[in-house]
Amino acid sequence: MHVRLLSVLLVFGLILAFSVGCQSETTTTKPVVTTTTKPITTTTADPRLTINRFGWTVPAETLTITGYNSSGNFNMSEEQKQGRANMDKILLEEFNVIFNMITTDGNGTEYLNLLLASGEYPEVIYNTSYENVLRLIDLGKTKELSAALEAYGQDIKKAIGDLYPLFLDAEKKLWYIPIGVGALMELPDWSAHVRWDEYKEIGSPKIATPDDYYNVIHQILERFPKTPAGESRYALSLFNRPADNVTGPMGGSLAGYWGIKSGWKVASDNSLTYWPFTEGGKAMTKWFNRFWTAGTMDPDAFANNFDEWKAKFSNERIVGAIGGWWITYSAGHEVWRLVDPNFHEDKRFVQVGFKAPEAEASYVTGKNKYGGSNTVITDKAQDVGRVISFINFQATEPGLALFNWGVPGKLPTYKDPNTKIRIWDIDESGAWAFDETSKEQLVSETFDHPASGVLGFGNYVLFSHVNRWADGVHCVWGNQMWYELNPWKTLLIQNMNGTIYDYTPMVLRQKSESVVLLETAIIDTWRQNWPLAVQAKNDAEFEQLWTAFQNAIKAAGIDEYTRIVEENYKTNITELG
Amino acid sequence: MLLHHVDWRRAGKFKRIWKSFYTQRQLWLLCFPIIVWILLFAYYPMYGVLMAFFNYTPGREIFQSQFVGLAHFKRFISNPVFMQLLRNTLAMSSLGLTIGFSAPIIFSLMLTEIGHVRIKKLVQTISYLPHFISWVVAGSIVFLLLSSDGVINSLLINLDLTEQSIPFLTRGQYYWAVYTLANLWKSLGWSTIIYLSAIAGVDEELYQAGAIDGLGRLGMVRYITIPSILPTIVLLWILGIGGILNAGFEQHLILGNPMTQNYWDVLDTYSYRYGIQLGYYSMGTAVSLMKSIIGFSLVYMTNRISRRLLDLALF
Repeated sequence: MHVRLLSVLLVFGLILAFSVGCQSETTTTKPVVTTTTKPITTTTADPRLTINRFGWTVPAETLTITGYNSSGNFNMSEEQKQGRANMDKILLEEFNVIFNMITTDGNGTEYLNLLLASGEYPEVIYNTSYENVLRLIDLGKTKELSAALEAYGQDIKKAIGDLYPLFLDAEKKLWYIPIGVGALMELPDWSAHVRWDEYKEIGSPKIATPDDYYNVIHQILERFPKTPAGESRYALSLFNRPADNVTGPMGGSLAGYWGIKSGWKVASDNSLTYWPFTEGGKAMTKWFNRFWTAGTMDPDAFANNFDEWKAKFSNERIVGAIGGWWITYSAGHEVWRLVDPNFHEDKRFVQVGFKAPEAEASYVTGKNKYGGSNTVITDKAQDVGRVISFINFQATEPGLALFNWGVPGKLPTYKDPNTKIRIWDIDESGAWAFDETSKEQLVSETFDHPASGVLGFGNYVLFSHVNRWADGVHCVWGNQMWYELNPWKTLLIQNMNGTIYDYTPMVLRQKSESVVLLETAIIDTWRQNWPLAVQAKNDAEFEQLWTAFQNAIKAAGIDEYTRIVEENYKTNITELG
Repeated sequence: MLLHHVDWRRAGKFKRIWKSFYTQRQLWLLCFPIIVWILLFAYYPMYGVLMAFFNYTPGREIFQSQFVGLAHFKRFISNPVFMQLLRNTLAMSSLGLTIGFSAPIIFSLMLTEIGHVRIKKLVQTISYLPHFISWVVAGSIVFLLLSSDGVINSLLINLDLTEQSIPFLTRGQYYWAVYTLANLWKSLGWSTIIYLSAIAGVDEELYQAGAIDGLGRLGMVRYITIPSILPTIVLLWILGIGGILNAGFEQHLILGNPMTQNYWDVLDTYSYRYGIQLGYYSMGTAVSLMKSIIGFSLVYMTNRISRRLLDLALF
């Protein structure tokens, strides 16, 4: 009897566990709908459709769009969850639009593959890579958009501008819409950094060449060999095993200080040479080797991930930095402001530009105007025109503001409902303005970014451009405006002037499986071999390891890859005129 | 009237099976969900191995994809990194089969020799606690111990045993040792459990007889304990041989870095990188299918050899 009862209980328990385990880990969360507020509709007395304050023609029937956000690793803070609810509310009340966003907290591409395999993909897939776009086109699951764009997407076309031909296939058809197209050409992305207060202490010597930077960093290290806590310091460290963030996925981006463009030496006839086979690439590696042989480079420079590097940096154990300008913000003064009771404004890193004497120019920041991700309308879409209309709205200035700055007006913050936050506002006539208080906070770098999550920006962006708007001032990023009012941004722009170039024609987008395998083999090879050359103990060993590095890259297939990249570059140069 | 031939022996056999089923119906009821689960999630998805013979893309049915036969297998074997992958896989799994296999046996024998019950239980508990730590945490511990500023290097420098820190984590030559030791630390206690239970099953009278015959402690181990647990050792050995091409996966993603990649990149990590991350499922499936066939063949051969030589077999 006991055995029978136990068996039944165990079976029941197993079935229960089985059914619980089968629950989906991903969410298709429906937006919050407030039933007390009716959506705006046309009345039978007035056949004209209503145009709201944003300039959006409100449809008579609620426009429902379901989209898979394939960026992956989706994780919202409480502020952001509230923000999403706020955005859903305004979309329904003032636009008569419901956007159902499907997300995953795992890998975005892997989940997309599952959606495709099960046939449960939605009508819109956005924030997806170009490789995924190509696959969707190959599967025949995308709608061709050029006609719909002509009819309903003129603002999108205008925003893409001269780059439009680059997004068409060989038959001049358009199968996707880019997100983040364009570039802020005056804003540098990468640089070397030096700590301002320490730099001033040693007399602010001029930094015009890589050797000047090396000397300045070591002078600072000699002057301040220990942290306030008594720990030893390093002149330099790297992260992302090794330093993708510095050198880019193909390696060699920092060789830009030696005249190399994103890992390639470009000759006058537009032929390309991969950086390990250039004098600039070798000089860059030898320069890093100087730190290593001097014993002042972090021994874990090639093993750190970003968090490990950040921990050392925030503890002031690293004197110099090389990478995106934001890394010394997030690991430096934004941390010290909160934890250091003796914090002062000069305790921060500034970005420095320099150029190797033999280089024609410094090419440190390559701007890619293709955009960071893409939107595809799939074969499940019933009415492509209506979806394009919605995306087209996102290309207008009120649309860019709404989806990238957030809900207009003052909204209560999550932590303290009595405190309100606002980035922008728009009146009934459609006149909009950036909030002055937020502007001051952004300029003084005291803006509370986490709290602004309640404004709900960033979730439903199916199109955006990152160029300056018509007034030449505003853009989608709140912290990239009014540089002239921010002395630190002014210094950044000034120091890095001349190091930015247009990388768009060099981007290789059409990749077959064999090209992807080739590229991956080359990336794996430089990642394994370049650090060995940097860690050479003396000149003889350096030469030997450098030769071994070159041979390994050759064996990985660089000749064929160079041929493919060069052909692509020359074609794009022609297309772009 | 025609008489249909009836095989009464068969009818009898079915009747016996049914009777056996009915008698053990509660156990069958208990097993039923598991059997369904195995059929659904282990056997049914096996048809997916066909992906290895097609150029499969998610979103298209397998049989709608282009049939390529053994192309993916050939491409993988002719890949310049294939020998490196095989070398790393065999090296690390061999270390696991030697050190990793013998250590739990030796440890369990040593545990058995501890007289004090409380101390024995304490040591045993401490030894298998690392099994419950995820590799993410274990990796952090390894980094804490072995990084250039880590505990081990600090100790070595302070004791003047070395002038500079030893690059345990950034030099490939150390990787196999780091991996094997980390794996051993994590799995030793847990693997010991099965041997301890086997040792616990040894008849006490054998030890008493051995004592009478003048066997010391080592003699007891050599002539009584080890022969008694030999079936367990052989069984686990056969299973271990079948897994010779399994040389870890998540451990390498956590402990490894690009500087040591030419020592930790194994068949599984390659399959993950190309199959899952880059989305070439056909290639990943081909690699995994190859591994499974080789692994099964090894299990079968080892089982036969064991039956012939030792009269012990898994099946």
